[in-house]
Amino acid sequence: MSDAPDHSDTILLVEDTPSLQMIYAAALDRAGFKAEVCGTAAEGRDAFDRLRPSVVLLDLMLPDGTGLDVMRYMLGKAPQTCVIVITAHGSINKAVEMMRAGAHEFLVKPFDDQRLLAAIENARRSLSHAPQARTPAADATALDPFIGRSTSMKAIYDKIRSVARSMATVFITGESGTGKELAADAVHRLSARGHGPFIALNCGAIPVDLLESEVFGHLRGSFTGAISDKIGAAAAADGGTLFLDEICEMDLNLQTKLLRFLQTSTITPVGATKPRKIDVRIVCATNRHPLDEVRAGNFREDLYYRLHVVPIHMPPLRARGEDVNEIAERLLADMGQEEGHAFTGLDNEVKSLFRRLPWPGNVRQLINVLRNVVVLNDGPVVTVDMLPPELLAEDRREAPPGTETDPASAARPGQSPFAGRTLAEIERMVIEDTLQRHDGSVPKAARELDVAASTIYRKLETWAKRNAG
Amino acid sequence: MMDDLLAMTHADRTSGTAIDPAVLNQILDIGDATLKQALLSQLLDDFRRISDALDGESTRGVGAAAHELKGLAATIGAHRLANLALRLNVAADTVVSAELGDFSAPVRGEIRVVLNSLASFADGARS
Repeated sequence: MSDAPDHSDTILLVEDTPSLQMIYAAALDRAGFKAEVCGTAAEGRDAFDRLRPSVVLLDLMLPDGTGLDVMRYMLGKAPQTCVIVITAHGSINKAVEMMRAGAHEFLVKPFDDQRLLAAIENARRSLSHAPQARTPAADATALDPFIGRSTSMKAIYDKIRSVARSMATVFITGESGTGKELAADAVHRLSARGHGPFIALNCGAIPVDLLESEVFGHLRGSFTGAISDKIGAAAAADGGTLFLDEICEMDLNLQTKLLRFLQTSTITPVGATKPRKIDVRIVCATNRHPLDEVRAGNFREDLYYRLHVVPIHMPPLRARGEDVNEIAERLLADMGQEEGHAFTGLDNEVKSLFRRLPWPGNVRQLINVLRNVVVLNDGPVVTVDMLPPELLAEDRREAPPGTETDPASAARPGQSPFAGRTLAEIERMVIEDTLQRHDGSVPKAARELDVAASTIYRKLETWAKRNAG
Repeated sequence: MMDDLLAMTHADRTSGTAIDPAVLNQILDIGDATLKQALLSQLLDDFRRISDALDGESTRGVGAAAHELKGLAATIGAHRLANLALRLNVAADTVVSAELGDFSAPVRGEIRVVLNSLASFADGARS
């Protein structure tokens, strides 16, 4: 172990004007930081080599060189360093050039203590989330939370592995409870930024008037109740992945800002005038049909195409064949242990029932059913009489119209998947199955089914109206 | 464009006060009386040094001094000087050396005003 003193908490200040050195150093001192002050590029480089600070305050123009050259030197030696550029008004273009070259943020003179310290805190926070070297173990465990070996899930695992390698935006669709957030997390963990932050934001759970602040942050005083600066989800995810769940619930005005963020990779917190560069991968999800939302005018078409780069459609539980029982037995073992009841598995009648239930709440519903069974019974094997009566009633009903249905799994063993269905239901099943296999691409599905794409669009519209009604 | 810049330079000379006292007082509130005196003394030194640099022959040197001046002046609330320095900074990148005097002369004049103002602050702080 090295006995060398740790200077990672030291802020290196490279500023050539002595009175400004005094002003900034005093502000840092008052805030409890140790500042190392240099007045030239050469001194700055030497101090950096000596101290290896994690945050550097760097003036744009120095007597013996430019801030850009000094920053390149520092980032070349320690790429994780957060360099905050200090500039004067009228030199913003140069500051933007610095941002493109890797600066973390820039401060325009004059700035007060609060702004200076907020920039430093921001830098330190991002350092604590900074990506580090990935380990093979992370690769091995990223898909662990998923249970199931059905063909449809194997295809999902393959897709997650493939897409994780790129920076492409991922758009996950699927009913509630199908594991959209698990998929988003797996994409993140398998990616090169897997040790960076994974920030999940449910756009549907936050009041519209607060959502912008939640996503992009705000400055103190920017609106009533903004008593301090707040870092938004986008900035918190810097260096990692931002997961926007229920994206179709996002207000149209905010969609415009999200689009600008995707185009420029910069954010402007509420109340701020200067944008900040952010390095974030976006993964979003919805349980709605996004194209329907575009057609209904609820979702911007340009944003849809920007986000819908790699679609992943999570299959509903009823379309996953034997997975439901595999999931149930795994959950049962865990819950039995938690509740102190030794459950060993499901009997064959329950397995058969689970296979044919529509599970409109998907895995979430299955968890609730099993928790009910484990709490109220002692085991060791789950039998039909242990199941909640409403679940058995569900078995007697048809799958509700308009729910996603997988022909293969809906059928009873030995029966045609279409047995007992109307022609209209079968047509819908076939079209939805084809769309699913083509990741929602209507033109591709239309080609396979040898019909005009407009026919499918028309039918989707009809079904959407019927569902809404 | 240069005529416009020069016209704005002259307009800047007559607008507002030399130093916004609220801004300067906030800056001076950096510590005890000794530190405050030390900062005022350093500010006087810095403005004099920059003023001397503006007398130089090199356009580049004048541009660098103007760049330093605009940040320092803005920080202490000398907004008029900061604007004049900004225009000189732009001019240093665009005009020939002979024409630069038209822009640097008002800046030097305003620096003198700011120095007097700072000296008054220093006297007030000492008493």
